[in-house]
Order: sequence, then structure tokens, then C-alpha cells
Amino acid sequence: MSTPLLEVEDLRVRVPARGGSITVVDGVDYGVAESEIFGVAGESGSGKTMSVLALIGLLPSGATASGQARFRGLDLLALSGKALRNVRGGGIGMVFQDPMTSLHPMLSIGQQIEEPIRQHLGVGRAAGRKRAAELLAAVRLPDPERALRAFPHQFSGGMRQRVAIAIALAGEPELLIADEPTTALDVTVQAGIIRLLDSLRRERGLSVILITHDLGVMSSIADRAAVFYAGRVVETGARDDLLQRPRHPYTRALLDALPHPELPADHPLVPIAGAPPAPTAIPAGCAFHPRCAYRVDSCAAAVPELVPDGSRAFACPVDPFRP
Amino acid sequence: MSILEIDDLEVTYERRDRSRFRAVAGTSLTVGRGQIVGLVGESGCGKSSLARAAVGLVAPTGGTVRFEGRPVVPLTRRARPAELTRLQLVFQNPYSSLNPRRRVGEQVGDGIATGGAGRSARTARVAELLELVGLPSNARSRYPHEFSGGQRQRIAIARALATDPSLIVLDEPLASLDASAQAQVANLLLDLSRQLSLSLLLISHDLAIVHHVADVVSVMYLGKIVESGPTGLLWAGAQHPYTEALIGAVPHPDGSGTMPAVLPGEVPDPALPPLGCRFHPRCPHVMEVCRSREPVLEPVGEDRLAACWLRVPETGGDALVPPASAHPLK
Repeated sequence: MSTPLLEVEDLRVRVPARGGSITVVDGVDYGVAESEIFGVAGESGSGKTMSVLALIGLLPSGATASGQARFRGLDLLALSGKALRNVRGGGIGMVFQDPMTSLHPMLSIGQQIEEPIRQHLGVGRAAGRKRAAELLAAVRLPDPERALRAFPHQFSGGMRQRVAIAIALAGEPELLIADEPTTALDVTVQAGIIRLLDSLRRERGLSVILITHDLGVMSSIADRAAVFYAGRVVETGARDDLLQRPRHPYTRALLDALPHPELPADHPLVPIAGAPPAPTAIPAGCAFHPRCAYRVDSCAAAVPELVPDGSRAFACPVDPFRP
Repeated sequence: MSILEIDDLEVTYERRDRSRFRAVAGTSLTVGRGQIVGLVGESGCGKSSLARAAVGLVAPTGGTVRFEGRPVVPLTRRARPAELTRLQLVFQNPYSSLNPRRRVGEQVGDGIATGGAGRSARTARVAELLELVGLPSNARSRYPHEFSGGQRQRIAIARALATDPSLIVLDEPLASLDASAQAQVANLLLDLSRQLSLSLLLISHDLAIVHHVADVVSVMYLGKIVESGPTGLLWAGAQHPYTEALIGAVPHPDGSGTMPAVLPGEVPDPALPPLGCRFHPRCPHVMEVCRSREPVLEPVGEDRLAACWLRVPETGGDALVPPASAHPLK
């Protein structure tokens, strides 16, 4: 890994709950290098979204984050007010799952994209308009000039997601956080967005944190990735290591549950036993042990540490897939 | 014998500006007894409209739908004819399709025709249904919010099974679930179909899961079926360029970093379908004939159908335009 652009250390997020608070992100470390696409995978409720919302101060009200997140020499978790606003949109852009709800239905695309351009770049109206058209062209939106005058409902889901990406790029961020950016889209449209993210990284040197539950999407463009389970990273490493030679039983189990087009149709899918734990009832020891096919008695005793092994790290002392 | 016969179905909607468009534009489809039929296509292709017309939730504007030999009549305020209760529908989102204020047992029990058998028979049947979908029997006295997404979809399936159906139409039943829950529900559907000789019409945009579950697959584009055939054959060698594009766009979790194939352009407005073949503006193999004449769904080998001029001996083959120059939208 070259110079890390973002370094997250011992990140913890607590959200208020009946009678106190619960931990939804529990000591997470990772780094994202320049022009790297870093995948964050895991089932719903694993803390993957909370762990990035914490970076840009968008946690739900009452939630608290601790730890460190160094970005361009700043500790993101210590920022507030104007400094935070400058980072949010300026240094770090954000794209959400559903462009139908993240875009304002009553404002033209031009208004929505020019506002952050003028905010972050401090340019005038004409320059802002020109820059907006350039960005829409950069996300491969046909006829950018006309698109500026159009409203979100006039676009398809895939085109709206392109608009949302253009808006996220308005402040010329170095890091883009994309939370399930293709989940609401058809596979054909998804393929276009995947390619777009890849080319933005290549052309602009953009770094991307790609949150996705779809290991296929992650496999297409992520350079490295982390697999989340119950608020912790259970395995992290290069894409091919993770997906071809996983070492943590949870990573292996996630892969086995997926339909694989190469496999014969009657090959049974292997679901993971049970369901992910609620954040109020995380099992003691390794949180995955009640569902794990390789558990031993000691798994329930202590939370396993993420232990490096070459370029990867995984949190399973049993290590059933040791090569 | 076919359980469901859809013949030349048309579903037309009216827009606010009074313009009309055909979401389903003359589509035929059959589901055999005990067969699992997958119906795939991009959003807006009309697959959900077809599902709704198949169970009588929307009235067709043309064509017929027959279930076990009888016409499917649209739902009205009156009770459904008893014979149509063997035709059931499961929706995409088990968070909204279950009533949050009623216990699971009551909701599953609604569909049971007790026929005077009384309370205990009904209770026993609810327990049986919950077991059939792999839920503990104490699930009956709990509320939907106490269950995960996958479990809720099982409850919705148990509710559909209560009427002892011969066919269940499932509209994107796995779309809102995580991979592991998806695998659980997909395996459950396969088991139920084999165990109960139950026919399933599975509507989905997820080709990988359809490939895994369905015996035969139909591919829909802009209101029409463009290809159908046995799943394995269709996957191994698509006969229609659209099928090929859909399959190529599925990203594989193999860690190789292979980019999914992009299909240029977008699904056109169904109110203004392109002349000729509906797929021609996006097709990498477009020929002159495709721009003016619409191909019909014709047999291409055993059990397979495709609507493509490339598969017609007089127009296909040597008339292929090289793909490079045939990408008008790239």
C-alpha cells in the first residue's frame, strides 16, 4: 500500500438505545491508499455504514464515535462546524444507495450541482455552470447542458446515480464514499456505474470506499477490502486473497451462500446457519461462533484479535483454511 | 398439462396526460405442473405487470390468463372464486406485505379453509405450515417485527401455502434479503416445489439466483418475451443478444477483478417502443431488417424460443454487422 490517504484506528460507534447505548462499531482499523478502491462488505446490520458515516459526522443524533480517523493530517472525529463542512463534500464526497431520495425532487440538476461547486471552489455563477457541465460529462451523462436544466424525475435510476456521483465530485474530493451505490439498479446499469467508479479512480486518482453487500460488485473493482461482522472487521486484505483464498470462516461462508454462475444449477447453495446477531445481543467471544461450522470451545471465551498474515489480516485463531 | 397459460397478454396503463402505453405487449407464457419458471428482465420491462395480471391483481387489456383451465378473473370486492385460491402471490418486501399488528399465526391462518373443522384443526395446520417453511412453532404467537427479513419472507410464503396452492407467483421474493437469507429462501423454494409438486413463477432481476432455482427461464424486454428455454441451455448459449448482455452484466465474486459487460443505452419508454425489433437500438449485432420488422418468438432448437432475426436462416448469419460499428450509442 502506498501513502495512506485515510487511516482509521480503533473506531468505535455507540448509538443510543433503550436504557443506555449499544456498540455498533467495535474497534475497527483500516487504511485507504491514494487512488485505491477499498471494499467494505458484510450483511445488513454489520456496522459497515455506521463506520463510514462516523468519518463525515453524519451519525444519527445521539450517536458517539471514538478512536481516530486521520485524513490529510486532520483527525476527522475531532472536527466540528466549519472544518467538518469543508471536509464533507470538499475532501470527502458521499454517494448513497437510492438516488431517488438523495436528490432533491424540486430543484434542477444544475441547481443541485452548482451549489456545492460554488461553496467549495468559491467560483462565480458562470464558472460554476461550466464546471457543472464538465462534471456531468465526466460521469458520462449524455447531453450535459440539457441535463443541467432537467429535474431528477426525468432521469432513469442509473442516470440519477450518475448525477449523484457528479454532485459528490463537485467539491473535488480526494475520497468518495459510496454506500451501496448499485444496489437499487439493474445489473446492466450496475455494470455502467462499476465501470464509471473504476475510470474515475484511474483518470482522477480518486480513492473510493465502496460499501456493498454484493461480493460480485466488490470483486469487479475493489483493490482491497474488509469484511465486517457484528461491528468488527473479521478479515481484510487484497481482493483476490479474500475472495479466492479466504481465511476467516465467515468470509468463506458468505461466498458459499452465493449462487455461482459457473456451478451446475443443482449445486445447493449453502446458507449460513442462523441469522446475524442483533447489536443488543452480540455473542461473547467471537461474535460469529454460534453460526460457525469450525468453532471450538475457546471461540466463546475471548474476542479474537485481527492478526496479520502477510498482506492480509483475519480474526480467527482456529484458522481452518491454513494453506 | 400446464397449470398457468398466459396467451397474448396485454396490460395497458394510462398516464396522467391520458397517453396510454402497453407494459405487457402481447406475451405468452406457460407454467407446467411442479415446474419452476423464472422471468427475468430489467426494471420497466413489464415483468411485475405480468405477475399481477397472472394472479388477477390487474385486468388485462388483451389476451387471456388461464389457471388450471379456468380464466383468471380480476379481483373485485366480492370473494375470490374458490378454485382461484390455489393461485397465490408473494410480494418482494416482507416488511410491508405482513400486517405489523397481527400475530404471525393469525395471518398465516387467514388462508386456511377450515370447512367447519374448527379451531384445533386450524391451529394444527398453522403449526404444520410454519414447520414447512422452517420456522419454530412458537413463531405463531409473535409479531412480524420480531423476525429477520428472511424469516418474514418465510412467513409470507407460509401464508401463501395456507390455501394449498398449486402455483405461487413470486415477485422479486429475494431482492430485499442478504446473501445468506437469500440462499435459505432459495433453497426453501426449491424444496417446497419438489416436495409439494408446487409450480412457481419466479419474477426476478437477479439472474444468478434465477439460474440456480428455475427449471426454465423467460427473458422479457420492453413488454415482450425475447427468449425462453431450459435454464442450463439458456445460460450456456444465449440465442438472443439481450439475454447474452444480461448474463454478461452479472459480476462474479471470483476475485479476478473482471469487469461486467456494459449494455449501452437504456430501456426505451414503453409508450414509444422502437420500430422493428424493440431491442435494436441497443443491440451489438443490429442488421437492416431489425430496424423495420419485428421478429417473432420462434423455436430455435428443442424447447427453446427466441425472437431475433439472427436466428432466422434467411436474415441471420452472414448479414452480421461487425460489432465495432454497430454500437450507435457507445
